[in-house]
Formats: sequence, structure tokens, C-alpha cells
Amino acid sequence: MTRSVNVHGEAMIYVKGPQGSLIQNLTEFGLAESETRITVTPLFKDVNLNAWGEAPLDVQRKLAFITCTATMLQYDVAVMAELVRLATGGTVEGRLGRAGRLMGNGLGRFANGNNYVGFNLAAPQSGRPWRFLYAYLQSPIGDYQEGTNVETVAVTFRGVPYTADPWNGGSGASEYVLYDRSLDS
Amino acid sequence: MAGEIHTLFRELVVPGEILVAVKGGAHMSGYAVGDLTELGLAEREIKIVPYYQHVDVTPTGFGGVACDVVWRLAHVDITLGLIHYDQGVLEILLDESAANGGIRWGDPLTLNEPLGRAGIMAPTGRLLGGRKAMYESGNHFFSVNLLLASGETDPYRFRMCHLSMRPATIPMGTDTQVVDVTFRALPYQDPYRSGVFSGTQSITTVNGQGDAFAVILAAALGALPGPPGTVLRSGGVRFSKRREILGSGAVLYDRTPDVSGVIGVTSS
Repeated sequence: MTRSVNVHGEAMIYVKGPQGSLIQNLTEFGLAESETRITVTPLFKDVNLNAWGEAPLDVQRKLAFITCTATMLQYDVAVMAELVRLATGGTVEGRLGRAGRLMGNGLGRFANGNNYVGFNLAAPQSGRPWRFLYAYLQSPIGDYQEGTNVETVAVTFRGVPYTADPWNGGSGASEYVLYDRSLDS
Repeated sequence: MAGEIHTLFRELVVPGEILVAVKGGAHMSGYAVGDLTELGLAEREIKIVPYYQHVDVTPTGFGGVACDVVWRLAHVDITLGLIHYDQGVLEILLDESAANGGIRWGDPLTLNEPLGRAGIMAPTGRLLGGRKAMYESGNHFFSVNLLLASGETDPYRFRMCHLSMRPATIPMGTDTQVVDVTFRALPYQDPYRSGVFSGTQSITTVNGQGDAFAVILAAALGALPGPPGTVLRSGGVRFSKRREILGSGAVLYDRTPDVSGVIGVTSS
């Protein structure tokens, strides 16, 4: 195989939102103060059997989600506000949508009314960027560092395996793309 | 351990993703439920519970213990919580389970069926099956198909179903709605036909010369005796007497799902 020291490079975060949003085109969100951290979280369920004690006889896969945490330092406040708005569902930042509203609304990617955004993390050196197809700003949003120093804000993007049709012609989540290593255009 | 124990094939069984699809009578032909139609996906496991009916035979000489048991057929309850489902289809199933009181003959039934018709009652006493064959127009039973994902085998088909006494529990609020429903599958068939449909029938006419039981049945239906070789009708209900009246061979469920595009099949 090929071992090497891996350097991802300058990690610009781009986002792309639904039609009609401020970020309907691929838009720069900004750069982080320190490393941008990505965590894939596969979900599992133990299969337990009395004859097999307390250890699992087998384990079932239960899909997965993915998160990216970053402390934004040089970023676009208008894009931040739009991401918050899409996450909270109001008409402007600070207003809420109705309780119980769905993020995806059974709509396709980038359709007006589907409030998920495409999360993109550039990789100019490694050439292996990240893209979460259906992402949103996970709670809590912010931890705004307000004062006389340069302002930073901590965010966590969560990528989920959203679909409008979980039956998928009988294939379910088989080969579902939670993330890939390309960028939106 | 004495003797050899036969070993068959044990395994962990994971049925996988399950889609509930339904198919009803030909009076809905060309519209939703008139052909195989998706109802939806469940939030959690779908539970299939067969209810076997037995009656103990307890002769005095055996005290209170049964010396044998009489088999009295069975039904199956299928319970599930619908979360990703078609409200229009559920509405039709509620109406069909109420003997089709809300949807008038000839009314358009679409996949986007407007809601509200299921609250209209059919006349008391209307039969769900109405002595109609499976999928025949006027038969308000519908099949429930539990379709398994691609590559999996052994789906379930419950042939003659209705939503049972408390047909649906419908939560209303800001959470995603999970509608708990219970289907009851019965071994329905026209009791005046034999358990196995042969395609050719020898009809014994109730004309006063036939057997006494047939005469009693005809009288119960208000049928009038007819000439030999004819089929009696009572209020549009076909009445014929075959070799036997019993549930032998009635299919409660099988493992062959319905096929889309085959509408209004009249044999059972």
C-alpha cells in the first residue's frame, strides 16, 4: 500500500442550500481557527442470545451519520445566519419555524422546502475533499466568542442519510451515499 | 443425551425492510387499492399473530381433561405502526372495512383520495365479503401483502383482510404521525362454494327436490325455488349448493404476493 504523512491542506468550508435560499449556489462559508474535525458515527445493535451470555452473538448495522466540528474564525456572517435560519426554520435568522416541521419534507436535494444543505470541505493539498449530501447545523449552534478578541463561533454540521423514499424500490439504504469525496458544483 | 438429534438449519432471521401493499375488490378497478397499491412503511416491527381456534372434547370419563381437541379454523392479526404511508390509501381501507359506506360506486378513487369519506357508515348488516370471490366487485375484503426487500424470500400475503374493531389509533400533534393499525385476516370464502374452486361446478338447484339443508339455506336467504338446473338468486346474491359447506382448503395466508395489473380476479 502507500503510506505517507497526510496533510489535508487549507480546509475551506463551502455550503450549498435549497433553491431560493441565500446559498442556493455553492458558497464559501469560511475557514476555521484550528483543525476541522470529521467523525463518522456508524450505528450498531447487538444481537444477544441467552446461551451466549452477555456478549453479542452478532452485531447488526443500523446505518450511520457523520459530523464535522469547526471553530469558525474567518467566515461569512451572512452565510452563518442563513445556515442558522435553515436549521431553525424561520423566515429570517432568530425566528423559528413551526414545531414538528420536517427538514427534508419529502423533497429532493436542493429543492425549495428541503432545508438540508450540502456540506463541502475543500482539500487543496490532499485532493480528498469531503461532502455531506444532507447536512444541517446541529444543536447547539454557536458558542459565540464575543469580546475584544477576534470573534470565533463553534459549529457542528451533521450529515444524515435523508431520503424521500426509504423503501427505494426494495433496496432500502443499500448503497446509500452518506458522504463522498467530491464537491458540489 | 440419548439418541441422535436431527439438526436442521438454524440461523438468525432478519426479514429486512418491509413494504405493506394492499389490493381490494374490482369495484375499485382502475383506482387506488383496485390494484396492488403501496400503503406504506412501519415505524417498528410488524407483528403477525395467528389465532387458532380450538374446542376441547371433555368426556365425563376423562374428568376435566380434554381427550381430544377440535380444530375450529383460525384468523390472523397483523399489527403495525404506519409512519411513511399514504393517507388516501388508509382512508380507503378504513372505508372498505366499514363495508364501503363512504365511497360511492363510480366515484373516482385516486391515490390522492380526499379524506373524510371513511366516516360515512354503510347500512348495518352489510357483509364485507358479500359471498363474492376474492377481488370480485363488491367484496370489501382486501389482501395485505408484506413485501420484503429485493433478494429476500417468503413474503406474506393475507388474502382476506379488514381493519378490525379499533381499526386505527391516530395520534395528532407535532410529532411525526405513527398510526397504529390492526388488520384481521380471515379464511373467508363463499361458504356455499367448496373449499377448492375447480372452475366447473355441478350445481344442485334448490327446487324442493334437493337436500333439506339447501332448502333451509335458500329459505334463510329468501330465495325462491327454481326449476332444476338453474341458480337461485336472492337480492342479487348468487346461491348455489355444492358438495359440501366447510372451510376445508380455505387459504388464510400464503407466501405469494399479489401481482400488479391483475385486477378483478373472480376465482378464489
